[in-house]
Parts: sequence; C-alpha cells; structure tokens
Amino acid sequence: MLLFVVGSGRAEQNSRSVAKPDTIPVSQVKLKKASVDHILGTIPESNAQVTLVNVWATWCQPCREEFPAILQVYRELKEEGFRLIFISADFPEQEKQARRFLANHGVDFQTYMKTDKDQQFINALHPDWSGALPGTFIYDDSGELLRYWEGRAEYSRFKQAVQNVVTK
Amino acid sequence: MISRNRGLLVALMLLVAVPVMGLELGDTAPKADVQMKNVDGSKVSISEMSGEEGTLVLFICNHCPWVQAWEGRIAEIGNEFQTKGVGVIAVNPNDPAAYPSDGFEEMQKRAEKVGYEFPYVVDATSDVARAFDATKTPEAFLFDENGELVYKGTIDDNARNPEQVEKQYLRNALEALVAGNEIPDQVTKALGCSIKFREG
Repeated sequence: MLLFVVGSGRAEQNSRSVAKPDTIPVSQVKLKKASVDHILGTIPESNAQVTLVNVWATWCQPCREEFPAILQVYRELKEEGFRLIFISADFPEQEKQARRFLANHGVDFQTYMKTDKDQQFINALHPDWSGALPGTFIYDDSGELLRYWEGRAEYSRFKQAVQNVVTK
Repeated sequence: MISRNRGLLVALMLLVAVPVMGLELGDTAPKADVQMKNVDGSKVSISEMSGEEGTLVLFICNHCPWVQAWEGRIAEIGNEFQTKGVGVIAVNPNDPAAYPSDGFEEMQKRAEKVGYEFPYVVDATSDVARAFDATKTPEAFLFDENGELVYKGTIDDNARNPEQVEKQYLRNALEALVAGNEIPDQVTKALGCSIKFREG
C-alpha cells in the first residue's frame, strides 16, 4: 500500500526541542557513491524493521533545518529496528562539504551520494515525487514503500511516521 | 517488532493521505491574469506574455544551486524561443524572508547578469506557484497556441554539466511545438529546491 503525502513546505509545529548532535572527525564519515537501486536493495537485506530514506543536500536550507530532528528520532529508535539512510544529492564537487556537514552532525553510520541521473533517481524512489528537496521515504522490513513526503518536516512528523510502523 | 497486521494502520493513514495534485497536460494556465512585478519595474501577467506559438512559464529563483547551474541555458532557450513566437516569463515564487538573495533587487541584478531578455517577475503571494502546483525551482510549464499545457518538467538531463547533456527536454519540446510536431517527452523531472511559499 502506497500513501502519497506531499508536504506544503511550510513548517509544522515542533513538538519538542532537538538536541545538538555530537560531532565526529571528518575521517570517520562513511559517505559512499551509489546508485539508487543499490541503496534500496540494502533495505530488505538489513535487519531493520523500518527504514527512513532522506534525500538532502548541503545547499538545501530546509534539508539542513530538518536534519537534526531526523537524527534525534534515529537516536531514540535505532535500538527498536529503525534504520536511517541519508542520500546526498550534492554535486560531486561538493562532496567535501557533504562530509563536513555529516561530521558536524555526528553521522557515524553509512550514508550515500547519488550517482544516477535525476529522473532515474526520482522515479526509482517514487514516480510521483516532484524532485523537490528534501524528500523522505519510509519503507517496511521487506523494502515496501509505506509513505513519502517532500518538503521540510519537524521532529514530530518523523517520530510519528516511524512509530506508526515500529511496535512500541 | 513490526506490526504484521497493518489493516488498521493503513486505514488510519489513508485518512490523512493527500492526493498528489498537479497541473495536467491539456490544462490551461491558472492565475494567468495576475499582474506581477517585473525586474524592469513594470507589471506583467502570464496572459499578456502569451505568444502566437505558445507560452513558456518558468518558476525560477536566485538562490537555488540547481537554478544557478541551469540559468545560462534558461536564458539561452528563453531568449531564443521568444524570437520564434513563444511568450516567455520567469516567475520567482520564493519568500525572500527565507531567502534574502531572492529579493527583488537581487532579481534585478541576476536578470541583468544572466541576460534574461524576458520578464523575470515576483509572485508576490506565491499563489501563482500554488495554482500551478509548482513545488520546486526550476520548473518549466509550456503551453501551446491554444493555451493548453503540452510540457512540464525540467530543462535537460544534466544540470551540472551542459556538455554532457544527452536529452535537451525543454529545447526539444519548444522546437517540436514551433514546428507543429508531437512533443517527445511531455513530462520530465529533475531535483530542485523546494519553493518557500509565502505564508498567507
């Protein structure tokens, strides 16, 4: 079952403050160039019960704004089978900035940079996604897409979307 | 543990699902009579810019790197097809409170620097973009001589490198329109910057 929820890009009410992340050295950032097919193929292969894919870029202000909230949800729910996949849509020459951003936010798990052409990348994630950043996609343990939205969201939306799938 | 019984979940989620809307092929331009301030200080509407062969409406801005990557090609294509009977208008829907570089004076500088020979106007309420269901910049909407949408999407298939473009989607659509031929790819996509709509 696919659910299509297109965000308005307007800020939602934030239900709580988001903690400042710990930083890590840039050398510890795991940022790998990969095709979207490869990335999505890792979802059913993992043991995660719910996976959130977030497409972001260093130049995308709403992406930067929502980033800490996504990480906070991840830190709260990662022990409950929640996997988070960040895909950077930065141009290749912006890789250093992407690595620095990830380091500054303490992202110590595997993340990716897109290699596909835009249209192929967009349609593989969802044919109805316009390509506006950020884009967020939520999958179940079999890799089936449960819902997606585009545009910035707040902590409460990420938390609720993940908790809807994870049994507390 | 994942709940295997998703029936209730799905039913609940359906209640909040929002259908994907969008201007469909064959639709006419909404809000076409809205007067928008051009970088030259005049007011202009989409209707006033309609051409004998068709009308190209481009949602662009200044701050977005995706627009910046394409803006030379946007100027080249717009300037060229404006001389071939296609009306061209570029619309900036972003709230400059969120992106100061999308303010009017910056638009004036950008239009001059890039060489837009067509109007680059302010969507002062973002309502034109809303009516088009535009979600990002850049995004192109091409209407034929009858005012019906015949192409929507992106500029080409390689924002970053003009020399590695394989499919010139917008140019191909414009050439087909002017020649009276069928448009090869009527709906295309690329990544872009979410429009920062002005609050009502």
